[in-house]
Amino acid sequence: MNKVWKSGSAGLLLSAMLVVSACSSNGNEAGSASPSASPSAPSAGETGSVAPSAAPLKGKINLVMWHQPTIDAVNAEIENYKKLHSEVDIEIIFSAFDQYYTTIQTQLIGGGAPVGIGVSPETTQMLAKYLEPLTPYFEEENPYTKQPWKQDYVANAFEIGKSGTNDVWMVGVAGAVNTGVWYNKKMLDEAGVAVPTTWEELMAAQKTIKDSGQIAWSEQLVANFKGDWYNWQLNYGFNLDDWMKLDTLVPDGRVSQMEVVRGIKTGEIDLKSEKVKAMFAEWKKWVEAGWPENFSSDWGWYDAFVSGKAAFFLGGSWDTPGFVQNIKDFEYGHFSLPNPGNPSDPIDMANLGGAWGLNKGATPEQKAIFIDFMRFLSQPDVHKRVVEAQGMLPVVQGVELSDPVMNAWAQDAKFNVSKIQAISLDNELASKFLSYSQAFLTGGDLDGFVDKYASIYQEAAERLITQNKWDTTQW
Amino acid sequence: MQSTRGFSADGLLRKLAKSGKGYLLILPTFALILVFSYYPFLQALHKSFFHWDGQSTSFAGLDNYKRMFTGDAELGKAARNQIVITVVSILKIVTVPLLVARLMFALTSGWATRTYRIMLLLPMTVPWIVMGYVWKNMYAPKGVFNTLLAQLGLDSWAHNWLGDPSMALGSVLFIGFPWAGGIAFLIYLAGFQGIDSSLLESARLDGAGFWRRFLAIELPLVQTQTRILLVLTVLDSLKSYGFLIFLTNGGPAYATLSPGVWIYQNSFVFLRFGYASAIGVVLLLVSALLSWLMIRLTKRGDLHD
Repeated sequence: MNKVWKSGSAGLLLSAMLVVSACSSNGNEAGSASPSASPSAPSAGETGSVAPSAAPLKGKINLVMWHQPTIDAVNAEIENYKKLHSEVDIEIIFSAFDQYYTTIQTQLIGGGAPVGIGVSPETTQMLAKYLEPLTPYFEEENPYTKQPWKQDYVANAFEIGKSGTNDVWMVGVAGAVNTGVWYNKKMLDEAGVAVPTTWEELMAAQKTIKDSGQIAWSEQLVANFKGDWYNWQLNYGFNLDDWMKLDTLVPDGRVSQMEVVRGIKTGEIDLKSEKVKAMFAEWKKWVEAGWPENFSSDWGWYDAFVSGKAAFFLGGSWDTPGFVQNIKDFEYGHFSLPNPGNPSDPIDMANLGGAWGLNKGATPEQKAIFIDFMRFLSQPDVHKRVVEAQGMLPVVQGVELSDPVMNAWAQDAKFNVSKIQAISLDNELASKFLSYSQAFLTGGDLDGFVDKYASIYQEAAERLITQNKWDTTQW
Repeated sequence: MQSTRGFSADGLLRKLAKSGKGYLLILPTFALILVFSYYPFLQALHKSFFHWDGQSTSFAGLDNYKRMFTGDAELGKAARNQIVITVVSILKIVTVPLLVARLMFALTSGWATRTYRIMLLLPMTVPWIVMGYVWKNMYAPKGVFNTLLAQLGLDSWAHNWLGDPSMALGSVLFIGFPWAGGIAFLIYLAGFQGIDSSLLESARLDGAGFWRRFLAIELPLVQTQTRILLVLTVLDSLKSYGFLIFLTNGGPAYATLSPGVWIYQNSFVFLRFGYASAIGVVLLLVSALLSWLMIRLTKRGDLHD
């Protein structure tokens, strides 16, 4: 018997997993409600400025999210919401960011995924076939604000929720500036460098600091992989599309997924162009210059910045509360990361820092509750409480933050739609990109990496064509 | 001799009639094995000829197998890593545990033997996930290794052990150092204890020294144990992907990717269940082939045969 088990080996193990997967029911086919079925009309008013719904909502929904502060903030509002809808229950489930999308994707396939799925604009395309397009819902009136729901939102923040497509896939819960560089004023002064305003100045500053024996960057060593930090830099620092779309026709001022795919397919976007090579070469130069000579346990995560050992920290607006609380010994500030490709256009990656998509497989009743609760969250006073509780920025119009630092970030947040990646790589291609970039940044050659990069995006384009059934004959 | 090995329907029926109850009693077990082991494997074999993402299925013919051998550079990298992992695992299993078991065999004090044995076997009771967690923390940027090096003034030796492609696989293989205890030690110790003491005594009287006795008598006599361990180690190294997923998920830069991890990623991360099944099927064949090869190679010099 032992022999039988042993000879089964990995194949049997896999087979068992596959059978389990196959046996899971696919709840995504159940009950797809049309937006018009959504009974989110108000009922007689009781609490504050809120207009309660006419058709009583009943049932329970669950929402999944990886960001604990968002969960805490929204949980507080759930209690307020339940005062209006006593027969509704909303549960928020935490799922760790590590493997989040793998977990959710598996749940969506298996039919056991929550009703509300925490998503980001960059990764929504990956889940799009499991999510309900929210565009029609946004055209309806929000019973709580008495205007079309869409108008509750900052226009560009709303557009970002389309993730490069024509449909809205998510409801923004909070915003964030993702490309803020924090600096230690004291260290810059001691090194004799001014706060950088251009890419060249930033590179020169980090070199001066490093040459003086100091640590330039407080590294973000997530899961021990240097590559994580590198890709963070690439995605939010260099902003791939800034380079990719240079040769692309972009209709109505925003990145169109189909146009970018068409550009790749027809060769209008040259993925191996000198511009692309220059981008990756600059990226590597930055990483090598920023990376200390010897590994030190002193520069992990943002500890090094908070403790005053590192001059810069590439983070975002969400770091503000933590820094305000923990940094007492030196003066610090932030600036938007300069754009290495276009000095006159600083990188502005204000983005949706928290958002929920709707599971297509939810029942009509669940969808109705989800939409109604999201509309409830879109009220300016509610939204203000939610974003302030987690140190995030507003995506709803007419919200003035109490904290001046956060308010300054909010002024900086342009929610530049054209900076959103038109093509989000799926799990497989993202994993390949990460792995090959790790190899490139730790000794691999540029041309080899650019070849890989091009093949990854060509494959991504092909997949999107197949997935969307685009007719490419006219291209 | 040959006739007894050849198939004969009459012979089979006679055997069944003779040991009918025995076959009947083993039937439920065999049925369960069929359902839970062979059926899933056949399912995987079937799925390997399809494109299947968990939702939609389409016939792929031999595409998945073709992709394995012509269009998957990552699998090639995984295969190369697997060779390293298997060779090092074999070396780990046939060196230190063998020597430690031999040293233990030489102990004459019952108390000392018991104490050492418990100390060497106790780590076996620790779940692998706990051990993985402990080592992952030790390898962390602020973990034991780097802190120790810093305290010794050897900062320049500090590394991002699991995050550096040039260090990651070595760091993973180093886990469990000094690899003295565990099942290998136990099997070897049982092997040494099973050696007829008169054989060793005769050799001693004939003037054979420690190394001569060890190499010429003891080592050949524990060859059966070595064979079992080789087969188990090869199978384990091919199958064990959970540890790698937990520690590095095959990264960085595919430095620790193994076929097992690639199967997991293709099935549950990339949702290419058909392709993952195809790799699983080939991995099963490779496992079977290597097991057979190990048995053949070690059988040649086995004194018991």
